[in-house]
Amino acid sequence: MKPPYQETVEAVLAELGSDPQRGLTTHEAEARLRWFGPNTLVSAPPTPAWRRFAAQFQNPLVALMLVATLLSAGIWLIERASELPLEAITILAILLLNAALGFIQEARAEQAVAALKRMTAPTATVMRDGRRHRVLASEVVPGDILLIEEGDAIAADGRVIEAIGLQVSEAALTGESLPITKHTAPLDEVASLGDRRNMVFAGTVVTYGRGRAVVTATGMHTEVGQIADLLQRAEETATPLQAEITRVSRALGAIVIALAVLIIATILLTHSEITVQTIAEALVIGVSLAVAAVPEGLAAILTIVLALGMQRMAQRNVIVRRLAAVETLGSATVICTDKTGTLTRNEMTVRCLVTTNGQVTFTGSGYAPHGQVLGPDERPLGMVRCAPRSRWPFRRQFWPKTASFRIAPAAGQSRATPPKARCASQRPNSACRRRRTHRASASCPSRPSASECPRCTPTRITPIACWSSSRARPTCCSPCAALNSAATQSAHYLSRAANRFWP
Amino acid sequence: MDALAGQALRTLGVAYRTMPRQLDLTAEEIERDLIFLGIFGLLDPPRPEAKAAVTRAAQAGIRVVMITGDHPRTAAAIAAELGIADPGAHVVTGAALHNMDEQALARVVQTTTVYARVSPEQKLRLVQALKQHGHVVAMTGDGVNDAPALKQADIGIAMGITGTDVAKEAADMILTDDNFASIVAAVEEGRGIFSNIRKFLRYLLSSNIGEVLTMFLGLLLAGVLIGAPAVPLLAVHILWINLVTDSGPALALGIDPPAAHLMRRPPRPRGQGVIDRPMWAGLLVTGFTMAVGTLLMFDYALPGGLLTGSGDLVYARTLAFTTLVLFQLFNVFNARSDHERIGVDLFRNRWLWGAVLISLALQIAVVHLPVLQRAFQTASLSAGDWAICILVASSVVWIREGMKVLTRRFTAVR
Repeated sequence: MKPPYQETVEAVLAELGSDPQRGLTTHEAEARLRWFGPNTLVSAPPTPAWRRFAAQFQNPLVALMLVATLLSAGIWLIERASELPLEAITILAILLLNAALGFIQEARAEQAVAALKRMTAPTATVMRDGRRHRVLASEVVPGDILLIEEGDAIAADGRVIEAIGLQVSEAALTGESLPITKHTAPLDEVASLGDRRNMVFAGTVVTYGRGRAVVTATGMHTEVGQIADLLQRAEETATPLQAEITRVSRALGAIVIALAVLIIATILLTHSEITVQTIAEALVIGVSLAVAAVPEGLAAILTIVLALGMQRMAQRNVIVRRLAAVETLGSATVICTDKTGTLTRNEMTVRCLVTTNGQVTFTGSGYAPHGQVLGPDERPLGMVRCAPRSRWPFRRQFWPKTASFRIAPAAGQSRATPPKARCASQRPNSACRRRRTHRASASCPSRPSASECPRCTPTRITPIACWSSSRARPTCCSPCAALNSAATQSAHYLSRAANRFWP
Repeated sequence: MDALAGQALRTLGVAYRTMPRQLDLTAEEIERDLIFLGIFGLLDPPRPEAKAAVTRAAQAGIRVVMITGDHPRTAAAIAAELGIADPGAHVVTGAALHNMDEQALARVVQTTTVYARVSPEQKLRLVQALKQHGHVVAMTGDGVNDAPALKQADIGIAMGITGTDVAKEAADMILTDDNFASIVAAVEEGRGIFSNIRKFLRYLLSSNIGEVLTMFLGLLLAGVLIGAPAVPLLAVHILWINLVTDSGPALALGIDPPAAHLMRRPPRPRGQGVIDRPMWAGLLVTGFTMAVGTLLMFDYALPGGLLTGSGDLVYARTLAFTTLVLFQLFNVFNARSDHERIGVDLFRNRWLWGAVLISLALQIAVVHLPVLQRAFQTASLSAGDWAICILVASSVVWIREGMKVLTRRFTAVR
């Protein structure tokens, strides 16, 4: 069997049992996911719980404490002062309690961080059941039709079946720094990884263009999976703060150990006779001093507080990927920000309109169909309300064939609108259509007389062409849709102005 | 038309024509003999919350710089509307940046807040120039080409909605709503977390210093106090304080709600450690107060020494132990700041009060429950003893408050 890059697109698809247009069925994808396993790189197996519990005792201080426990047990053995080695038992109990609490808290903090990480888990767009689906990268299976475009990280290895200017940076895999242009034709000979120009690989990045690929390998079977052992897993390094706190605790510890040695020596020197018991007692005192000096709970509390902080930031729509960023944020002096979409809404909105009749200003923001029409003297002329046919009436076509808009009189002006407003909002379509008919036949019993609300009559507009500084294309790109929306929003006013001039 | 462009509006002309019912027309055939109707002026409006966020950033000593690929006039208009730049402020374009050498760029980045027609590669240069000036730079980005700049920035921020995988991978933070206001909110949270870490450090370290001084001075002054070498506290007592009664309040300090003044202060200088001089001073004073108070209580219970009592060693240790725990429970409220008065937001953090009450209950249990009495070698205290312990322990509040008043005076005079 030849490798996929030597096969034709059709042969690869046939072998993987996939349809280039429809992709796999959801059912089939689930079955394959069970069979092939998740599309993830298996690194080291998770640390078992008992080892994480044991790690709580790995702290040198806790070790010191265990020594103290042994000492006090030793004293009990010598003295037999009480029935039970109470002090040793108590120290042990406190240590166990603390380890258990630390274990639980750390596990919860880890869970919280993991949950946040899941929120930013990589996703992939695949065809399933003939539709585009955004799925977790870990759920991609062999045979999936992967849709890739500029900026995507590729989720799995795949044979390219469609490439439109597709360029991929494979630096992470091959070290090649320049992007590689991909095509669909089969290769004749055995090719090295960097020369397989009809394949895309997991872990690489689309720098330009778009395309489709049928997934040939997932998880550890991908090219990057083969070298996964060589890859250094990015360890979360200690943040400057954590490092400083460790430093402070160590310094405290060092000072105190010196003190303890001093004290033990003094006690031993002042005692006339040195017995095992006095040595043990002196040692216990020394250890107590060390215990006193070092903030045992600090590290655990720090971890928990940072994790809780990340959670709180997530509630405020910010997901932190690197813990150190939390600290750096507080000392930020400059924020460099994009404009479009970050400071602004990325929704083109009509602000004003100039006709031969004069200029009017529109208020309101974004796509929300609310706003006022202000005349040249800032006096409200009316309200803009639109009763579109659907939520996004302008997405599908360049111009809507018809769109019904009306300008209701502003508050304070004559001719009340409420009945009409209700009618429009409840059943925009039929209501508007009906009224259009009414306008044709001037007297209709179901409708209030025309004079009651002449300004509410909807107007049918069929715009013909538009031009702008950037020539609008008849596709559905969002800026164009936005322009259309905005333009149509107030086209009514324009048409009325026009009607007045060109009857 | 020029008037509209002058207001940084995009323009869109509209014309109409009555059409025959014929659909197979080419664009050229349709677009003629049109009757011109008028021109729209269009604008991508600022987010309503952005202006307030820019103001908050300015109050917090953070400069907001707008870097956009958009037209300079549009950029200037939006910047002026949001308060990022004064109306008529100079906008630096990408073309101008291209012609600048490093020195010129270094001068420009000091003052310029609006950049227009900038390419992603130039963003990287801007970040580097700002960092050279000692700035801590947060930078947003969404495209593939933004990744180097995001990596270079101290805090790379990727857009959650419009951002590409590559940008997210390179970033330190992701905005799930792509909203500028969230960045400022994150800065506030970041400052809050840092300030909270300082709070529990203040709390825990003063506890440790208090304990060490108690033990050390206790041994040193053993002759004066009781006439024989006897430690005022047992290892179990110290462990109990460090691991049990201290942890709840320390955690509660860690989740203190951010104080309002955090965003009215300039950013913390880069490289400044978490424990500064005023904090060390406070730690030492608090620790010393605690040690002296604890030892006095120890002495008070025992015959001989400065204060003469009539109790035995177990009773004296219980008094000392309880006093130290109570010292810490009072110290929680000191630990919230090196400068602010204790009354500020005293009741805002309910967890804190809950944790203090739980620790108090635990201490009462250790002193009065027979099982724990045997384990911790304690003896029951009378109501009077408790009252004295509380009185002595509260001294830490008065002393620290006095110190804060003096510091405030001193800094005010200077």
